Amino acid sequence: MVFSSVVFLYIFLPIMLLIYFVVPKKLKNAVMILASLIFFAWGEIRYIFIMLLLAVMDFWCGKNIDKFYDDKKKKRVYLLIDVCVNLLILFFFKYADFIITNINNLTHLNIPLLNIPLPIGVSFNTFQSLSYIIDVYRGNVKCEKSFYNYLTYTTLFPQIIAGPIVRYETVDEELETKNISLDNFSKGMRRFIIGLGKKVLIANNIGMLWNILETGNYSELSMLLSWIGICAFALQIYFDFSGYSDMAIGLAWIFGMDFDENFNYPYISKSITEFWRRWHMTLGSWFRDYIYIPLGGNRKGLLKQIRNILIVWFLTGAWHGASWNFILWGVYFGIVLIIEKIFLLKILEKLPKVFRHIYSILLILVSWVIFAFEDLSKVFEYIKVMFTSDIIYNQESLYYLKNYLFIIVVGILCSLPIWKILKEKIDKKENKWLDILTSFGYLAIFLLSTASLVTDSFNPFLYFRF
Amino acid sequence: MRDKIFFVIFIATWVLLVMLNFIIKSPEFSEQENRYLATIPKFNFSELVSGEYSEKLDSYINDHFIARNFWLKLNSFISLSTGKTENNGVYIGKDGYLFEKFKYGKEEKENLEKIALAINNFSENIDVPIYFLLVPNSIYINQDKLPDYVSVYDQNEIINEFYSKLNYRIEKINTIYTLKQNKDKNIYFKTDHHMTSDGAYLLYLEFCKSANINPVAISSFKRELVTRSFLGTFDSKAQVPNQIPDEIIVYKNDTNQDVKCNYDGEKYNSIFNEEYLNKKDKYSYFLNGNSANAIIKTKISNGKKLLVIKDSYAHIASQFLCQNYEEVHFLDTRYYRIPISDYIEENKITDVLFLYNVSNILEEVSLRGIK
Repeated sequence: MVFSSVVFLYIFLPIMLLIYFVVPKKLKNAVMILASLIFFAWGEIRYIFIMLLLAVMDFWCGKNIDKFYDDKKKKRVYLLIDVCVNLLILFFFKYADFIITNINNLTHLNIPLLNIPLPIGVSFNTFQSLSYIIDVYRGNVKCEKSFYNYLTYTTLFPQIIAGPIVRYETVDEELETKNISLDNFSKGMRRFIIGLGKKVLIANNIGMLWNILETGNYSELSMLLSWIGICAFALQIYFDFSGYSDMAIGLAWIFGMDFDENFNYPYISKSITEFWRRWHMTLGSWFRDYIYIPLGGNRKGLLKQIRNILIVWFLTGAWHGASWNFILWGVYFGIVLIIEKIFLLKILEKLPKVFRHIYSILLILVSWVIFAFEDLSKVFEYIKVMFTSDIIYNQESLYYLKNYLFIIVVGILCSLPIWKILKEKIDKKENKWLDILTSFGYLAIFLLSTASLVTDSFNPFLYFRF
Repeated sequence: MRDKIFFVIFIATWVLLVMLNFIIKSPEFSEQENRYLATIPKFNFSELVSGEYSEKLDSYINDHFIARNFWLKLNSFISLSTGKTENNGVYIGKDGYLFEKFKYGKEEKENLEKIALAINNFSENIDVPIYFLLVPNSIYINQDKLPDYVSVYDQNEIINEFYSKLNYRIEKINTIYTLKQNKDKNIYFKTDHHMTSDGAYLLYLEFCKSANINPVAISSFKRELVTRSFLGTFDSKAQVPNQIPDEIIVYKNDTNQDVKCNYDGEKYNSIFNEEYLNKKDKYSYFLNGNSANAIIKTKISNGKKLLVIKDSYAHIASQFLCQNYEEVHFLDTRYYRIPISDYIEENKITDVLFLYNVSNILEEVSLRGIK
């Protein structure tokens, strides 16, 4: 199930909340688990059993690591078991066919493909398990004593499909006691509505334009259209992804929990280094804490640091999908980050802000071209049109410009922190009428999103490759 | 305080909508969208595993959401007020004109080639005159009404290319010139993909010219406005707020009012079915909508029998096509699967007319199997 659907908003969520708030404290986790399983089974029932088995194994390994905490060898065995099984699952479902295809291409062998559909959320699920077991091993968190609580954590539906990656340490106390209140409900619901609006009203509407370009449903790609198109994609993926995170964070507040933030206005970045501090933050910090730093980070000289950065970004790329374009996308960022680290950042700092913004946006837009097309030849073709096409514009591009200009402008405005500033100003004022007005504003977003969902408008799911 | 105010406002609305959805029953058929709404899917374990079951359930829930028509209008209103000039694959043109997007790609081209081949083969076994009337669509004839910056594929080129592939036995009728000349006379509906009676009359004239028939003059008919509230298929898709409906006009005379009709065995005494004028699907007023085999018997006795192999563009043309024949037979190859050559012999057909519109024939697969 996805948040942006009628069945979630008008059947699943209201029923689930009603039960959740009515039952005594001790049963709240049970409601949560059951709800999560139903939520997940809606379209991805096969993976449930694997998810449950993984939960049992994580829990068992965690407990044993705790039990043998002073016995380094035994402790490590349990860590390895858990890490290996988790990675194996991820590998099997996500990368097996990719590797077979590549071997076939290289050696002209004909190894049959497994053709296993990728279970939705498997990447988020395994990364969460890994963070738990590694943190227990390191002694960063206490191991979970109750399987009931652990199962709640690992199946937690708000983040199971598209993040943020919630580490065990973020929610460990809330698995036991939840901070449920009317204020938290309202706060959470408002955050959820913002996310819903971002996804349904902005991302989906802008995404229609990208969909035309992606499917090749146009007669001729002019320079203008290629730029409008990739801007549309950049806005679509930002509003879709951050909208999902907002919805997840909002739901967590409603349930009396607290997740980490995942996006912080990434498109206002003045460098790529900054961009990655603002984009999918929970993934970046995951790779930092569990890969980059253990590899030595920046403490073992520049060469090793460069190696470490490349490894991390190769993996980041591959995490986004088992295809060469994603890997290229990751490595592209790795290289840019290395260049920035060695000298470019120092130069950038001396330039006027405008140039730094243009520099960052350009590199980000090019990265989205790589991200958007699985077929690498299409990537290069598209970039070529963006920078060297003779056809600056044509009728068709003007048509799309006219049709999508409004929503693109709205998208750009909403990716700037002006709303945050505005909201903070409103929050300071104690005015009943203003509160009523803003409440109706949120309600309007909710109802307009409903209109779009009821009518089966374009509503793609972007994370099936993750 | 803020949280309490929001809580009250939001929860009140939300709970109300949720409750209404559980309580109120919705219809099985949507007049506004002109389609049957999804039914509750039957449980099926393998569909549950593949995720198909939940997809079906999703569309059931969406289709039966409370006040669905209101949400449809709201959604298109919002979309159109952001400066969009299309909705759900339909262009919102000038002066109330709607147009379905026209696609002519590789698949369509191939389909047309296959159809030409099949019809050539078919014509070998037929020894009565065969006429082909491929009619362009509103989007081409009325292209000046399209939104700014939209260009449309040259349908004249498509028609000529198709005609060039048909063999000499088939008499080709190109109507583009006449239609362009008369385009300001409302020859197409604005909200529907069909032609109006005035457009159909032009087709009739062109057909008569090719078939050497004396056409009945338009002035000898009684022109009758049968409804002012026709919202056709383009409107069903686009759901444009405040769309001005089309009028349906018919041309009646003694010949087309005194007929015996047989639609797949159902018998009527008129080609006009008043019942449909109170329904959404008002175009079915003509020839009772889609049937595999429709036969009109007139009072004329000249031994001439016309067979029209057609799409629904022929329905509105039936009021004119019956003017010069003892019998007019209509076959829809989507539903009629028996060899047509046999049909021609059995019914002593004297003329065969293919009547299709361009955007429809591009997607028409059943014609490839014509025998």
